[in-house]
Amino acid sequence: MSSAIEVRNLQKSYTGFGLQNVSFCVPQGSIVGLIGENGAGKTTTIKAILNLIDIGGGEISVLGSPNKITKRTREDIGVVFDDICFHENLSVSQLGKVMQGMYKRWDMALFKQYCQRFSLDSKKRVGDLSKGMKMKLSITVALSHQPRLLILDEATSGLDPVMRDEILDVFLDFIQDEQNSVLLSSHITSDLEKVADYIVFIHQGKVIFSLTKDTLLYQYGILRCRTDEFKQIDKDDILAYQKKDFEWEVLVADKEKAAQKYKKCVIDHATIDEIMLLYIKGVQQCEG
Amino acid sequence: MRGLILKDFYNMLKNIGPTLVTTICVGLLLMVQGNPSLFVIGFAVAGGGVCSTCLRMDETAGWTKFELIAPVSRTTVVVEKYVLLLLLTITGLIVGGVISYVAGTLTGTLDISKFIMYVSVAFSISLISGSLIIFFLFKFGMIKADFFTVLCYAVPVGIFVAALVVVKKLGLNIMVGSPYMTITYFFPLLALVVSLLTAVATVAVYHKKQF
Amino acid sequence: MEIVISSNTSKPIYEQITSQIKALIMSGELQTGDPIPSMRAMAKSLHVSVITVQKAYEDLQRDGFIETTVGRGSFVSASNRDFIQEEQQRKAESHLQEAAEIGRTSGISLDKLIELLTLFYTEEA
Repeated sequence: MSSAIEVRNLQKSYTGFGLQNVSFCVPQGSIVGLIGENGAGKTTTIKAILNLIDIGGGEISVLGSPNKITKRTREDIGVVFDDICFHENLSVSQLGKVMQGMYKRWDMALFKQYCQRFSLDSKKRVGDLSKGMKMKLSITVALSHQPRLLILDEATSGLDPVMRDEILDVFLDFIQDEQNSVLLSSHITSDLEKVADYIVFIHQGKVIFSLTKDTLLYQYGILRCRTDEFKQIDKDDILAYQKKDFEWEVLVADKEKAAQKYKKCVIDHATIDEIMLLYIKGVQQCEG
Repeated sequence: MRGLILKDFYNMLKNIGPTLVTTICVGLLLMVQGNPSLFVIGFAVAGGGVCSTCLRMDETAGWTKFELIAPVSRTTVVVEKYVLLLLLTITGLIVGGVISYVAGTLTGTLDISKFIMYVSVAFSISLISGSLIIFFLFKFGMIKADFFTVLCYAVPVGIFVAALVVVKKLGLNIMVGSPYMTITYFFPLLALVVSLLTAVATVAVYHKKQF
Repeated sequence: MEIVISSNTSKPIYEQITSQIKALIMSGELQTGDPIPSMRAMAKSLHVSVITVQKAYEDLQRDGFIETTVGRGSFVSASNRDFIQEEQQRKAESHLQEAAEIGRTSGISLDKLIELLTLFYTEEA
């Protein structure tokens, strides 16, 4: 199995919005970050992968299972949503016992270990935990049944940097085993810049790019220039551009080459946020 | 299914207080009415009601979303609720039945054949109303399902009253020579059939539901 | 073994890892046969993506500094350190030769070239 998740030409329409030909994969052993604005289609894509919704077309294969995911596949998948799904009345340890009755590979010792690592008091009611602790509990539950795939949908939004750093560490630990993979949908691009191997950018229901993070951070660049310089730029070199008040911003795929070719212009690093903004607010240069 | 039932059990423990108090009050009121046998109906129906409360709590907590990505089939999710309904009805029946029997014996108002009929009616009303409520909760979700709740209780009670009238009028004395006996034996069978049909319908509805 | 990564320089992280490990090997701090952390363990400690480390290790292997065996991990290559030094010197020589050619044909003075080389050399340190 070389891919934990393979999505091919996924189509799904709702009124006024739809996923069109979404294709990407999560290679086994990697962390893939899914980025995009609110409403771009990230959550819909994840729901399609998890078989929570019917799809209009395309194929999705999860953990080698070519059709819709089965009950058995779900033993191997840990999911964390952005809000907690557990009853407020249950205590942490009661929740552990409930999960033991639901997952075949539930490891109670591992659960207790994570609870200790995250300082989750076993007697405390779920309802009495802070938002950050609730999230840590969700992640603990997701990890304690020894999944092969972790899927997180905006799971770290609303957490302070210290907690996020702890959680990112947990993910890096998780993929020490090459059989494990992570799909992480997040707005917090700085987190993805730290741990992601690949980044998939979804905008208005389409995949704009699916690249290694290193390509984005070290090869992509932002060229800044004046209008007359902008007119000189080869259309093939432009991925997207935007006219700002005093300059033009152009996203280029190879900043070294661009620096050689357009010596008058300023070429900067691109952060993932900047790349996203240029695609979203700027004009995309279509190829062919 | 083990995990699901355990979860409902824990939830019930935490919420049992208000339910118990309500049931006892209703029971006491019924007793004042003069017929201690009605305790059994109160407890059985309350038992069934607890099941729908559990289902509502699942929805409020967001648990239903979790179930969808957990290794439980949608069929199991639905079936577990019906199993819970049965277990709670029987529990209510036993508790209410014992109280009714004791109260009836102490006050000397106990009529065995009527008592047995009340047990069977209690079982049936709880099972039918509970099954219908579960169906509506799965199909429409908590908020819209509330609209149908009264209907769900009215249906079995209506069936019971209508059956009583019909059986008396036609003088049907199958098995043991009394219209009450007819109802005593057939009502629960009807309830089980209704429950089964509703369960199948609920499974079908839930399998199609999109999230 | 200590590696320090800066996320602020324009030098890609995989290059930083590569040059630091090469330096450790050249200086003798890492001896032939010494184990190097697995790619994933390194990625975890440095808080970088596995792919980045993978690229660094591939480059090191290609240049003969390390050897990676499936199932056993990565080790400092048995290649003679002097041999590697020679190899690297040869590479530097060819680059310098190229620079000299360009200078000659474009009219860049030797002093200017020396100045540039000094600048680059001291910047690296």
